[in-house]
Amino acid sequence: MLKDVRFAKSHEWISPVAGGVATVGISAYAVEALTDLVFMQLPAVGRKVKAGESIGEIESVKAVSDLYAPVSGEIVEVNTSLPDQLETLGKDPFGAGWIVKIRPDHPAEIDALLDLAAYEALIGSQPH
Amino acid sequence: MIAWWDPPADGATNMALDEALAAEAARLDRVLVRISTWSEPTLSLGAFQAIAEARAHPALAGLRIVRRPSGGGAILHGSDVTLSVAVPRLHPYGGTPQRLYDAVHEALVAELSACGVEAGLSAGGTLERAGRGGRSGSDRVDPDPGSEAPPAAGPPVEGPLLCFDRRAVGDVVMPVPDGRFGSDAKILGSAQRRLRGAVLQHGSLLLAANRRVPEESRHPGLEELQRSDGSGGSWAWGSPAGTGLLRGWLTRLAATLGEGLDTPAGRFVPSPEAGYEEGLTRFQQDSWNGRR
Repeated sequence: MLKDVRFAKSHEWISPVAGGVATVGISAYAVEALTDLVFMQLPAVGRKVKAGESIGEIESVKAVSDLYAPVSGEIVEVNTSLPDQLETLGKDPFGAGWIVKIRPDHPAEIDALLDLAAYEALIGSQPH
Repeated sequence: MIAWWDPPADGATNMALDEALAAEAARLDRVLVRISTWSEPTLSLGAFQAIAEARAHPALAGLRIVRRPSGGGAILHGSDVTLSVAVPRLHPYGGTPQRLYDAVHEALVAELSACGVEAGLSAGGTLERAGRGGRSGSDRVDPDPGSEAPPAAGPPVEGPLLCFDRRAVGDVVMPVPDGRFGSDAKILGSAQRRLRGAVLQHGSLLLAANRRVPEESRHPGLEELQRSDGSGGSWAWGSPAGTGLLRGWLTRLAATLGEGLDTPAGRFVPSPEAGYEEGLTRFQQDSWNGRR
């Protein structure tokens, strides 16, 4: 499945479009870097977003991080159980830990994001 | 590393300048630091704390409130100094949160030691004191004013309201000889906002106890802890000891981060593209400060 996923440099992943909708989450690398998650805010369904726009926030013990929309579009579903089960983000970041589903305005924007190899190269070069 | 010693400012101004500092750090690819104080007693809330809890706190009645972009607990400003550090995300210290946290805190411990003051890093845990409530009522509401009904709420995340009642791994603590506050007292805590281009870390160093709050709710600062140790002397903002400590702290931090230290005259002035005016408007609005 990961071979079909694309990544933003800000560590969000997005699935291929199916039925006009793509699924968005954050990578295992990002979850691990944050550590000790305590709070999460999700966007509302129906919100129109632009690529790179903040769509939510995650708080860990020492830090608040923004979640960014990897592509432009409309939020059509959010994982409402996630804020109560933040451990899911760490256990299954590419499955049950999905965050939102988005109807992309321009599905081709997904193709411009990083593939798995490029993303792994990116995180390999980042400071720990 | 460029560090500015800014004049006292109100809460909204300080927060807008710090956000602009982060934007400039990303734009210039430089580590930028702002040392600031507060022109009036102000409570700064962490990004997700409930304002109702702060307003219900008897020791905090009537205070101005501003919400920080960074996380962590509430801080009652007025006798502290704020160290705002903005590090580009691709800087060696822009990665995992703990690394920058430790760098700033260990630099202070080392400088305090050089000044003959015993301090150390906390192993973590949370100090609960009678009469101080935990965080509650988190509702996960999307702040977007045009949004529809928010997703389902979850259980509250508990924790003391005030930063200096909390203990995170790496907080700077000092021993309390008389034991009134347990075996140690926190004098420096920090929290971050991790933006796309830079990390903004807020640190609050409690130079002295804040006399704006009732004594039973007051946290001892560096000055009181030194006096209780028999060392005496003032560490307050502007005092020779306090100024020397801050300069030494900055010097050690720059060395840790692998940076030179430049302290230009004058205050930090953001470029127009840093978004200062937009930020100032937001931090002045109830829709931001009361969003939880």
